[in-house]
Amino acid sequence: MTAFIVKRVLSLIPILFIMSVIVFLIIYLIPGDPARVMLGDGADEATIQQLRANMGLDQPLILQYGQWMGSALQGDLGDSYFLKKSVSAVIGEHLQPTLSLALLAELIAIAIALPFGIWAAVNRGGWADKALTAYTLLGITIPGFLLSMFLVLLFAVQLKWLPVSGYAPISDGLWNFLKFLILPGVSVGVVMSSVIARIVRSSFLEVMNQGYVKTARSKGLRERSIVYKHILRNALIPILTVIGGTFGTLLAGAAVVESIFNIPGLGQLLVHSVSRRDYTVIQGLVLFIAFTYVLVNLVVDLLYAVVDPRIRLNK
Amino acid sequence: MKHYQKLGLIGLLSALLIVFGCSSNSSAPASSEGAAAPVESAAAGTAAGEKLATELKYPLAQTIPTLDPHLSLGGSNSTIAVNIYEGLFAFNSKYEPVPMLAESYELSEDGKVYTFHLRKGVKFHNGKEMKAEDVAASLNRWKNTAPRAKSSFSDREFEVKDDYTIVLSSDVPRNDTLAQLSHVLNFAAIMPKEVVDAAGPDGVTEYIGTGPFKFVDYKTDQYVHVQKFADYQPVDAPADGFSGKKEALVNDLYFTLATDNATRFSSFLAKDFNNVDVSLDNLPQVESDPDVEIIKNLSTDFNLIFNKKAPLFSQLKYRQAVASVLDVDQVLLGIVSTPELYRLNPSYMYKENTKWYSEAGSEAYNQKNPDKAKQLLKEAGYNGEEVTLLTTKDTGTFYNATLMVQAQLEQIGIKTKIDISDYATMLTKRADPNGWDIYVGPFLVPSTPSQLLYLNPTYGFADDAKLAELLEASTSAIGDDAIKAANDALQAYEWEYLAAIKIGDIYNYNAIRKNLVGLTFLSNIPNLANTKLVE
Repeated sequence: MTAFIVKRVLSLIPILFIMSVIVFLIIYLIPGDPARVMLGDGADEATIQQLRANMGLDQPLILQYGQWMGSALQGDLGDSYFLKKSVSAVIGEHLQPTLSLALLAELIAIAIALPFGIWAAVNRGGWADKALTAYTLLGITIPGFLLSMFLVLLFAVQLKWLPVSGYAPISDGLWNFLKFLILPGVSVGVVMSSVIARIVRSSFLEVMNQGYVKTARSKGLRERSIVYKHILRNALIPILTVIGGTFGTLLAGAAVVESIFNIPGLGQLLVHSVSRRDYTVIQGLVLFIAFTYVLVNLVVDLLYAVVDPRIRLNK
Repeated sequence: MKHYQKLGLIGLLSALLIVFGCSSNSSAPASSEGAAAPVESAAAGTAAGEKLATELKYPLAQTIPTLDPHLSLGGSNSTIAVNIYEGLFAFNSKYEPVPMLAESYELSEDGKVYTFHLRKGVKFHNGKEMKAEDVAASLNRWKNTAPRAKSSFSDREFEVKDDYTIVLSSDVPRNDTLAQLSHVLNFAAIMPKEVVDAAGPDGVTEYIGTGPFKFVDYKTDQYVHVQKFADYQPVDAPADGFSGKKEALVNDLYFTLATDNATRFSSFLAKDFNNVDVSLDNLPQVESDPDVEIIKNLSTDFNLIFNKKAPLFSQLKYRQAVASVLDVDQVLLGIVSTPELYRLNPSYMYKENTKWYSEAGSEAYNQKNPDKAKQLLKEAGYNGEEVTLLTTKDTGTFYNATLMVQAQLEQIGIKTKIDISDYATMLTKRADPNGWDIYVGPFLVPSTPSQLLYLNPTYGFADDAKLAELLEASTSAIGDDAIKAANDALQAYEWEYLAAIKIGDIYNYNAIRKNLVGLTFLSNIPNLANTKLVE
C-alpha cells in the first residue's frame, strides 16, 4: 500500500506542473492588471507603470514564470499583491471555512441520501421510490442560490432562528461556529444529496439481484441484516466514488454559496482574486485545489480497498 | 486485523486533514450577529438614561483594494479612511473647506503662498503628537500619488517652517488648494512621518491617523475593525458635513463586507445591519416599516466619455452629433428606473457646490435632436463605421446606461457594438487609445474642475491647448468674481469641445433604522463619527 501511495503522490508532480503553466498563461493573457485595479479609476499611466514595475509585472512572461516556479519549488508561493500576506497564509486563512462547510454539507448530504436511497431501492416502484425521484429532480434542478435565498428568508429573516450570513471560527464556541454554517450547509447538502441518493438507489438495485443476496434470503437471514451487511457493503464502491467527487468539488470552494452567505472561504477568495487580478493568489489557489482534489481521490481509492478487500492496490 | 489497520490509517488521514484546516484558526472576530451588551453612556449628545450599543456594523458593498488613503480611493476606502484619518481641512455640507487639523491659515495677497498653522496637542493613534514634519511628509506623498491632486501640486512642495507651521508656495495662484486638501475622495490624510517613510510602492504598512477611531484589524475580505480612540481631540465647532466636532459614540465599529446585494438587504431585514442601500425592487419591503427611515443620497453623476484618439471621435462633428441626439432623461431612467432618483444637471459640479456650479454652455445639454445629429453625421462623412461602447456588468449601472446610449446612437444610423468585460479588463482596455470609442460611467463628483479626471489627457485622451489653458485659468483666478468668470468660460468651452458629455446626477435610496441616530452622508460617503446606535 505504501508503494501505491508514493506512486500516487509522485503522479501529482506532472499534474501540478501542467496546471501551473496553464493557469499562468490564462491569467497573464487576459487583459487587466493588479496595479490598475489597486490604483483605481483615474490613476495616471505613469503611476500605474511604476507600480507594475515594482510588482515585477513588466518583466518578460517566461522570466516571471521562472521566478515564480523557482520559489514555488521551495515552498514559497509568493505574496498576495493586495492582502500583503504570503499566499500560503491567505489560503490557510480561507481553508477553515471551506473545509467546515464541505464537511457539514457532506454529512448532511450523506444523512439524507443514504437512508432515502436505500429506502427507495428496497421499495422499488413504490411511493418511496417516486418520492425519491421527485426529490432528486428538485434537488438537481433548483439552483443552489435560489434555495439559499429561500432558506435565508425563512429561517433568518422571518423566523430569526439563524443569522443571515457571516462566519465564526470554531474557537468562538461550537454553537457560534455552527449557526453560521447550518443554512449554507443545508443548501449545498440538499443539492448534493440528490446526486448521491440516485447513485445509492441504482447501486443498491444492482446488488440486490445478485446471487449471494438471494442465498442470504433463502438462508432466512433477517432483512435488516441483508440490507446493511450484505447489500450496503457491496454497493458502497460507486457511492464512495460519488461522495469523494462531491467532496472534492466542495473543497474547491462553493463560490456562489460562499458569496451569498458571506463565508470567507476559498471559493470567495478565488472570485475576489480573479476580479482584482491578484495573480499570485490565483496561481497558488489553483495549485492547492488541484492538490486537494488528487488527495481526496487518493483517499477514496484507499477506502475501496478497505470496503472490498479483494481490491489490491499494489497491482 | 489488517483490515482494521487500514481503517485506522484512513481515519488518521481524515483527522489530519481536519486538524490542518482548523489549525489555521485565527483570532476571534466579532460574531456577525447583532450588537453587544448595551452600556450606559455618559457621552455628550446622549440623552440621559439612553442605552447605547457599543458595537456597530456598517455594510460595505465593495471589496477594498488597499487601505492606504493616498494610494487609491474608491467609495469603500473613503468610507473607512475618514474614520481613521483627518486632513488639514474638511468639507462642510456646502463643500466649503473648514479647518480640521489646521488651526488657521494665511494666504499671501498675490495668492501664491499658503501658510498653515497646525492645531497643538493633536495626538496620533500611536500616542505621538502631530507636528509639521508629519504633515509635510504626508502631504508630499499624497500629492505625488493621488490622481486628482497631481495636476495642481506637481510644482509645489509642502515645507516645514516650524513645529506647527507649514508653508506651500507656487509660481501661480492656486484657488483650489483648500478644496483639494478637503475632499474625502482625494484624501489628503495626515499620518506620522515614520509611517510615510516606511511605505513601499504598494502602500503604507501601518494605518495610523488622528481620527476618532483607530485601526484594529483587517480580516481579509470579511471586515475592517476600528475602535474608539480615547485621546481624540475634537475641534470646537458644530458638526457639518465632515467638518466640525467628531465624537465616536460606539466603541467598536466594523465595516463588514457584504458584496451580494440580496445578502446585504436580508442582513438589514434581520437587523444585522442598521442601514443599507435599497434598490427600487426592495423598497416596498422597508418603506412601510415605521422603524425605518428612507433617505435619498446624491451618489454619483453620469458622463459619456469620448476616446479623443479614436478615428471618428477625434473629430468634433462626431462628438457634436452624439451631443445632439442624446435624450438624457431616457438614459437616466434606464439607469435608475424612476424619475425620483435622478435630476438633470448640465454642470460638471453639483448645484450644492455653489462656488463652482455653472450653467454656462448648457444649451448643448439634453438636445434630443436626431435631425441635427443626422445632419452632422452627413457633414462629417459618416460611412457606417462601427462604434465600440466600452462597458462592464460587474458593478453598478454602467451597462444599463450604455444600452440606453446605444439605442439612441442606432436611432441616427450609427452602427454600434458593445464591448462587455469585467471591471479590471475594462480599465485596461480604456487606458488603450485603440479599440474603443465611447465609455459611459458614473463618476464621484469632485469639488473643483482641476479634479475632473476627463479634462486630463490621461482619461479619454483630451488633447486641446485651449481646454488646458482655460482649466489653468480657472484655478489661478483670484477673487470670487474672477473665479466665476473663469469657471464659466471653462465650462462653456467644454460644452463646445465635448471631451465628455454630462448626462445627469443620480441618487440612491438608503434605509436607516430609526435607532441609528446621527448618520450623515456627503458625496455618498457616510460620516460615522457622531453616529450612535440606541438599544
